[in-house]
Amino acid sequence: MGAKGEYYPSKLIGKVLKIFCISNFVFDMVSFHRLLVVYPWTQRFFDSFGNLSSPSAILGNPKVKAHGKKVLTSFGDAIKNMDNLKITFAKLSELHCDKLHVDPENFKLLGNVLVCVLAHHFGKEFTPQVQAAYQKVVAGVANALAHKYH
Amino acid sequence: MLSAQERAQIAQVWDLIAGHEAQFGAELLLRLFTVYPSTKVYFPHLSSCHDATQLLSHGQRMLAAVGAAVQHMDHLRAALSPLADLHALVLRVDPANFPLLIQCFHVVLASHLQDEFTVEMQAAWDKFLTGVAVVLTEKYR
Repeated sequence: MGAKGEYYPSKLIGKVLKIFCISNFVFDMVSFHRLLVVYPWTQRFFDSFGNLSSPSAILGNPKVKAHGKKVLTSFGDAIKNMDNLKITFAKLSELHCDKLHVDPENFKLLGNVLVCVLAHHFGKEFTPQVQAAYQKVVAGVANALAHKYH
Repeated sequence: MLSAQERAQIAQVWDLIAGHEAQFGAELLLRLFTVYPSTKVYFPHLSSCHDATQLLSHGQRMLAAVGAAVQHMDHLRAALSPLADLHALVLRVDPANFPLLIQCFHVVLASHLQDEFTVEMQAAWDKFLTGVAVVLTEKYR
């Protein structure tokens, strides 16, 4: 990845970042909920979370909400450290490989879901160019999270 | 296999698209080319100049085919057989590209329809489009 200005159109990222950080509480819950509903096999990692039997059960599940918050806080960190994603996520990558045993494919799924949530929230403002910028960010995060897998 | 609920949700999604095939189809293609530039190789006549008329025309055609698939969601293989032949013998779009198109489709619907495009509808629509992609690439070998 190149410098922020080259690889990511920073003005667009900056605009969505500002809104993203202010509205973080909106995105954490709904992104994780959407992942578990649209791609139900991702629930395999959350057997200890309790009731995931229906979309409304998932939406009301406090552990899903808490985990979503954790994950989205990490995304927020990613946006602030776009030139150092692999370093920023090195420890988390090791954790997901060695302890959590999460297939890295899931990082791509969550990234795509987050993009859908942003599109839903921002509507027409989420132009193709903004989508392109954000897909690059989530792809970068997914790669960084998979980087330490062995 | 689609449940009765999924069938209803897919039909609901189509009701929201019907009448806007050209507009949604053109935006779908524009997002595909912008977000995933490598996909442009499959649309040389469209992707170099982003001509609005051509995008609308091709978008209309693609979404009309999706609409036909919705009408025949229990008989996709038969209904999409000519398109499957086209993809296998002529277009030969690498199967890895269909998830990219599907992601852009979700983004078009989410950004235009917002609350009308619920999470449950996205789940059913994703399952349906993934099934369509499987049928379209089934004759590749």
